[in-house]
Amino acid sequence: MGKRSPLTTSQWAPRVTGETRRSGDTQPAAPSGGRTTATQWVARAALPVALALWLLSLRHVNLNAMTDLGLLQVLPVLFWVALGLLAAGFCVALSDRRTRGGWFAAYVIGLIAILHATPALLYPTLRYGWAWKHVAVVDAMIRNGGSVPGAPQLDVYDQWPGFFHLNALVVQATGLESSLGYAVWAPPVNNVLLLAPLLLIYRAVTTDRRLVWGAVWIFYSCSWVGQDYFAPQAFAFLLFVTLIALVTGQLRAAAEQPPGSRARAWPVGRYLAVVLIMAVIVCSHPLTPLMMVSALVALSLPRRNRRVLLPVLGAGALLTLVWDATVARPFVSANLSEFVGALLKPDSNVVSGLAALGTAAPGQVVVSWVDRGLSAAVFLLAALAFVMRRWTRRTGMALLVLAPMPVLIANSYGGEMIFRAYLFALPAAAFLISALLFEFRRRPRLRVLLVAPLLLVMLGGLLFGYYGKESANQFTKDEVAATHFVTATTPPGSLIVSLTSDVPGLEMNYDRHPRIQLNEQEFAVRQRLVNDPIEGMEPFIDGATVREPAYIVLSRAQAAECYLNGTLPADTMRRMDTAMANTPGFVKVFGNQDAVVYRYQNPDAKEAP
Amino acid sequence: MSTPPMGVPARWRWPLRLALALSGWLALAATLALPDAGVPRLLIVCVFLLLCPGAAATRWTRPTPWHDRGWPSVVETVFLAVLLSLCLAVLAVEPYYLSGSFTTTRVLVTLAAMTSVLALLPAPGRRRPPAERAGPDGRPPEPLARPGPTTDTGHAPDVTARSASGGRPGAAHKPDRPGGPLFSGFESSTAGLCFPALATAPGLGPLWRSLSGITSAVRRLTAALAAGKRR
Repeated sequence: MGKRSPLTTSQWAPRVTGETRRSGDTQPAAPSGGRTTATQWVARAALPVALALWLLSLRHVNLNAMTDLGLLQVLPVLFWVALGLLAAGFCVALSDRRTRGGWFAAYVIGLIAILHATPALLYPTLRYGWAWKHVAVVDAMIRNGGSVPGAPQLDVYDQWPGFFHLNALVVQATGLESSLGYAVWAPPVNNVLLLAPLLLIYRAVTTDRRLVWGAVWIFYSCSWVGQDYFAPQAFAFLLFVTLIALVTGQLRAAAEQPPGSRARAWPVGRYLAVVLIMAVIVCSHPLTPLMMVSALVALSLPRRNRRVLLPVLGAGALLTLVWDATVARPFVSANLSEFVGALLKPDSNVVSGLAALGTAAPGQVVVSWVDRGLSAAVFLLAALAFVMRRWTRRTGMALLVLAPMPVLIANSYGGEMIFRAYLFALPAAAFLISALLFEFRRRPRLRVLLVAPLLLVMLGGLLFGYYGKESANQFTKDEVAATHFVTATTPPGSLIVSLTSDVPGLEMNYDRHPRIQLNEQEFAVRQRLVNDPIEGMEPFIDGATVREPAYIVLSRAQAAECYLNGTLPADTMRRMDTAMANTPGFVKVFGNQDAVVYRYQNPDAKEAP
Repeated sequence: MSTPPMGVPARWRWPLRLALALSGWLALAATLALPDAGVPRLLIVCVFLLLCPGAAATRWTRPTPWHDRGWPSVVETVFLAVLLSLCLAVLAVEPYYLSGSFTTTRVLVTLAAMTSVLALLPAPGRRRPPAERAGPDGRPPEPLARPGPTTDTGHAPDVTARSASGGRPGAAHKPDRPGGPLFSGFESSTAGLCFPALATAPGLGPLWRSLSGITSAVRRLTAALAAGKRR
């Protein structure tokens, strides 16, 4: 491409904020004479072949063989070949200047399908115990007409109910029995929906197609945190990225106005849409409004952005304050002292997510180190991009990467904060990494050859983090049947005891059954349980009567989770099973291959008249 | 313009708006009349809840002007249609749940009414003359008080009002004819200063971009001339 006259490039007034000045590849050059080169043939053929290989590889996967490394142990070689072929095809497509955006889109959707639709296709039931919990919350809200009384453990969902009420509406309007049917497909759908706002953000700061699609690929290759399942966080994150897309779009529009123009910063309709999105964020999730305000504050630091950002920031902060002071007031006031205390201990907030692992399974130690390595590499590459690619400094992406940090040091969010901070910083970090890796004008094939191994390493790291814990995240139909028995057919008010919370459907009817998870108790209690299972359980099940007995659920996934995490020794469940089978007072009321349920009625309890 | 520049020919706009306005009531009827979880009810209700309120709302959110006639604008409109539908559904649901008076019928009636209002009311900016339009879609360049060399004579080249036949305000809003509108004269308010690029502009967006580009170009030229360089 020759040097273009500055009068004809897409540069506007000198005050351009984000437009790259080196858009060497902006115009799609028509293929000469309609001939497609060998490179184009390779790029176009690799995609359908990779997808076909992927579908073939899913035919014979033995899920029961998962132990330390989850799906990584059981996926056949063909799956890896398919994924590698897809990545290679994408790199070839990137190296060719003439590749259309449609092919890149197809590649990215293929990547999303392979990464996120694989569990949905392989597993017989819904993945993740937390997804089952959210299905139970929707069900309880439908039954109780809104907020759910008598459930102190899960009342946080009553105070940020936006996502659940939306699903309650969908379930009731369509007449479905529950949201279980479509919750299975939430991960691929959420990721596909996320594609649009990411494209809009990246397109607002550069016109180079290679940078845009490279950034999208890197985002999906590094998004190992797995907050894309049927959960309010996934919904709120999608809204957050949309908000950032609208704001960056408006920043660009404002930059292209003639200087000194006294036009309004926001068209009224668009501003109302932004306020609506912020209102829904504020009522759907406790953490995302804070990340949203932090990101808006970060973006409003450069003076040229303030005209566009301050109205949005003001509305967002106001909405957050109003919601936290009214509907969410019980939770906020009850935990306020803890929040303030956590503010004074920033180092414990940051570190608690990477807590010591105890006697975790050896495979999980590897997984954990790979996760940390990938996250650190992402931030390192983003920092390198900031140093080496000066034009990115004006785009605001660096500000968005740093925006979650104040929230990170303010609170640990139950140990999860560092992962959420990574998630919220990832869109901007992916763009910076793309600017570092994919901005080249000379010898594109050589450069792509150098970059391709890095992309494969990123994908590998993602798979460790995303598929590494699957032996505890997938459930069999037998376990679902056992939990259905213990939650749906037992008398209301009876206690349900389990080792961990990793039981599918354990929270069903949670307003009718108190629940105890033994691995969440204090260290001393757990120690007593390990020494003698029956004695360890006694303080919890002592109050059982004939009319409200206690039920103890033991299932395969709980044993897998103990083995992986090490919060309790791996053989605890087997010892409990044996102990209860041999102790009078415990009656085995349900059993199948993967789960067993015991009932305990305290033989000494006096019957209430 | 409040509709995507790439889609929706004028002939289909009113039927589309009517369809959007009626879709909510159709979904309500499906909820009341069709059996639970049947395929027709699933389809109608899901299409309404996931698409129609947001599609009606995108009529009111003008696409940002840097979107070329290409995929960013289409992607944004379609995606916002889905997302704003979800947001409007949450907005409709929450008051009922918070006040304890939720029934599906009430919420669907609210959503259908919202959709009808958004679809049928005329969106702002469609009838106002282009010279008066505010916002990032732009105004004609105003005379600016700036130091330095400039060719700004203090006259705002009032092209649109002047070059449209008879200066009718709405004349620029007629992108219906193939090839776009032809302006009867290309001369601006400054005698001898013509804008022939108008003939190639099939719509207001490219027209404005061409005008702004000329502004920027003129500024640079003048600066360079004043500095004594020859280009």
